Amino acid sequence: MKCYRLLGFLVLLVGILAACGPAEPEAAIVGVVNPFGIEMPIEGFKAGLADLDYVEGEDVNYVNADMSGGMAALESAVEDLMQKDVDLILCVTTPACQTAQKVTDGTDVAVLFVAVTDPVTAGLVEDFSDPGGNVTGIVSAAKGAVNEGRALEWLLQVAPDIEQVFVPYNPDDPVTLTKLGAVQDAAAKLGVELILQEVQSSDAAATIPSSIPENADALLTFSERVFNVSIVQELAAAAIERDLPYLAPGVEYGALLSYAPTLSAIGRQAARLADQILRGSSPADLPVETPEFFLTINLKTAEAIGLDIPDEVLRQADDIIR
Amino acid sequence: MRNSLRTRLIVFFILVTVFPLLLVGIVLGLRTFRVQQQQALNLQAQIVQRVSTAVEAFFWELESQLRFVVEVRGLQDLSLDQQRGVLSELLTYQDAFNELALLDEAGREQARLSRVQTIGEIDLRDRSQADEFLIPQETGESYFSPVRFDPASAEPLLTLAVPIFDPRSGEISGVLVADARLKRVWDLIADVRVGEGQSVYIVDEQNRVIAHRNPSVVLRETTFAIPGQDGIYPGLSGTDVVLAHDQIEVGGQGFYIVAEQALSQALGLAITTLILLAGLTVVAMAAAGGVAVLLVRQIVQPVENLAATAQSISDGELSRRVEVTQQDEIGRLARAFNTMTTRLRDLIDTLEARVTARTVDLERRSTQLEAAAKVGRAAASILDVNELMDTVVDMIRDQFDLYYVGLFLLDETGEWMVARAGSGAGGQAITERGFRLRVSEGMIGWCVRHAEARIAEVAEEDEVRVTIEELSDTRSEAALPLRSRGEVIGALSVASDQPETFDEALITVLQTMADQVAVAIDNARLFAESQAALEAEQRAYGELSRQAWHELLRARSGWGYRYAQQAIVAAEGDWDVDMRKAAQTGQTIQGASPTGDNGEAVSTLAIPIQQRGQVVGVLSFRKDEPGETWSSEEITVLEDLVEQLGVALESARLYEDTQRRAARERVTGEIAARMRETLDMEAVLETAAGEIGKALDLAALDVRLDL
Repeated sequence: MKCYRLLGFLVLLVGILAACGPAEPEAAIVGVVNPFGIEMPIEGFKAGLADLDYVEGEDVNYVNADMSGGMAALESAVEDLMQKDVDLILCVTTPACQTAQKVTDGTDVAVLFVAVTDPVTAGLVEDFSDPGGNVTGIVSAAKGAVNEGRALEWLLQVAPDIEQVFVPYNPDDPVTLTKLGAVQDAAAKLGVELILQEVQSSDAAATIPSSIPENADALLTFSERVFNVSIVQELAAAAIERDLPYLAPGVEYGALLSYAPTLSAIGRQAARLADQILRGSSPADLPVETPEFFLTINLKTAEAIGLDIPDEVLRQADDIIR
Repeated sequence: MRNSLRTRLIVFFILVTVFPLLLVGIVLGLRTFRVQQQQALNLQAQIVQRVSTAVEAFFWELESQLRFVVEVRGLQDLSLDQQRGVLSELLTYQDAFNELALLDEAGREQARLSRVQTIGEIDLRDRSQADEFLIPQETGESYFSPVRFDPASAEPLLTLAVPIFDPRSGEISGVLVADARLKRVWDLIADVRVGEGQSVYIVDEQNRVIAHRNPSVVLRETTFAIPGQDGIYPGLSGTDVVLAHDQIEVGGQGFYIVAEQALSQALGLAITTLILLAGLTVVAMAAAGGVAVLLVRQIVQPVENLAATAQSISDGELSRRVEVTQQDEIGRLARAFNTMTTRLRDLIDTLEARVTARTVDLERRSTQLEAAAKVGRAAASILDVNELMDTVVDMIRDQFDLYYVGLFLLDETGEWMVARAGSGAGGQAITERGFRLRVSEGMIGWCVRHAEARIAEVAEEDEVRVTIEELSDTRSEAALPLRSRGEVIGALSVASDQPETFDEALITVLQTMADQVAVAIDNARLFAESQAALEAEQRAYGELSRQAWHELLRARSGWGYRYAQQAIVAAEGDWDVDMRKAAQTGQTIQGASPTGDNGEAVSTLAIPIQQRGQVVGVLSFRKDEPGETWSSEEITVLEDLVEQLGVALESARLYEDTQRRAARERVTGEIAARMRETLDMEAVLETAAGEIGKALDLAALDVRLDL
């Protein structure tokens, strides 16, 4: 009888030890809000999490917000995402992140932004080092977008003869205005004249390729909502047609040069923050991080417009599209 | 049960097996823990050394690159555009540099390039009072500033300045200043392969974390106070860690390279070892327990069975036996125990039988003694001899469940034993036919002659026994003498229809009872004799009393008094009817008597005055008012008073009689004295005649002497 009791005790002990073992964690759910279909930061993000040993389908699952309704349905799309018990929302661009912030307000769902130039102005965070609420992320520009001016400087290093630069911009976008300010400061320092043209819609932007001023020596656009990929491509084509250097984030779409963070790298950088959030850190305790800036030169475009880029500049380029 | 053999054995096994293992486990665990701790510290120290080397190399590289530009590229000798071009290339080549500035010999910026922003002529500053200019100029050495955090990016920055010497004069002709981003050190740390729970970071002299695998730690300007020496401390996250650190100095700036590992991770092996040892100890305890159980089963269980059986036996369960399954000492002990138990059971059975028999015997004796006591009490309470004897024989027969009990008493001649009482039909028949035996005959005669009991366990075999026809069922018999005041007055004959009924004990009881009966009979006889004498005396006195009263009342005929009208007068006239009736019957008579003028009847009461059964008078009472009756209480009171009156009258009569006798005696004495006053016969005769005649107031008296 006592043998049975002893055996029972051992079985119970083993059972208790087994029960005390580590429980299999559930896969994290990352909701993705990418209204403009900018895939590079998403890919970078996934790659970054993969580097951190997150296996998709096992450790993490991605749920994309349904953007079929366009920007008008952005909020409802995020709300639908919330119904899927997401642990984290990865949002791309400022409007998407503002909507995500609004929808998640008062919840414990973290919002991680990428491709956001000025999160303080956009109201996403209170301060870089002390974000506050449930939002943090990787900015896509230096503070005050001063890197935009540095990009103009790079353009002048590539094409020193430039005197007038045509800059179509959306005056309704405060981030764009910040960038424009930085470019204007730099232009003043570099002795370059800016030809500004307000573009308040994608339809208006669509007319820009065909309305580049004759006196423009170069073309500069910012990464913003009205200049979607197709318009950037058309602008690049128009610039090539007129042998104009085109400074824009979309070098891969035909622009000559960009000095900006790569969205893929931002995505990878954001993955590290996501890892910390999924491990229990509060977004409020994770300072907003700044990206690295990369000089990218499209040598094909340079050749297309007959521009001979100095070797010393080429050597300084981080990426050359040949 | 704490001191039970089982418990002691288990404790013994635990002490023998588990305690040494536990001791060894603790020692090994502690040793392993210390070794692991030291190894973890060594590992952290190695990491710290590696990172220290890398960080020093990093700063050396930054300085070297600046010096290369200055000394190899001849930065000071180039045109401004060339200088900007070189600086731009350097910015591109070394992405740790955030900004480069070339100062002239006066400390003014000749050129300045930033990684992130455009710097124009207007942005050039005078830095002649800044440390990055003054110190290299004064010392000729490179300058490293304290770490500061860039307000734009929140990243830590460090200003590095190298002096530019004029090769001809050897004087400092300028300073190349660089703002280095320590973010690149983060990458150095990130490249260090660390284990789980391990962390490497750099703390400046202001305790600020300036480099960490996790940029957020730096960006939120975390601080950490470096402990004095390596060991186990709360780490950066507040949990206990194994921490090692090293201090490096770069251009006068101190940096602490810190490597820490969570205690649970660093001492994981030790903890695992401890858990393993604990597990082994548990297993050993379980094994020891199992061994103990087996040994208990082999050794203690049989002993416990023995103990349990012994306990059961002590509780009275003598049928319990120990199961013998072994041939060893315990088996032999079990067999011996069973044998002992069997013998004990036999002994107890025998004893119980004897006790039962003794108990039955005692109960029987008790019953007999109780019966004897009953007979004795009954005998003592009866004063009539015949009733006593009849009662006694019946009681003895019933109480002792005998066939026959008879009482024989010696007759006046002392030669015959006469049956005076007998129980049952046979006994009564014997008594009624006046059965008697000579003292020399039979068992009864024998016991009377010898004044001791005689027993015939088998009646037919007794030599002196006389067979009585009415008692033909007798199988055993005894005769016991009835002894009183030292004399045998008869015999008690008892018979049973079962052989061997009378043992010594019963005979003793019966003899005691017989003695009591004999005394009771003797007492009853004496009582009867005394009663007869008393009755004779009473009869004689009553006769004297009646004669005395007869003479007294004859002399005083009509003697009596009446109380009426509160006056006492002599009673006159004849007695009324009720009085006569009361005198004749000796009973109180209630009646009625007409009185007064109207002739109404009133209640009367006549109560006789009796003296020793003879009515010597009557008291008659009469109510005043017609219709009043005598209550029983009044009658009782009056009867008591009349009885007292009788006593008083008898006393008064006796007193008078005594007085009269005394007077007569006195006269007689006086006459005798007169007569004895002389010795002369003549005088005596004369005196006698005269004194007697006078004393008795006789008319004549003659005294004559003649032969």
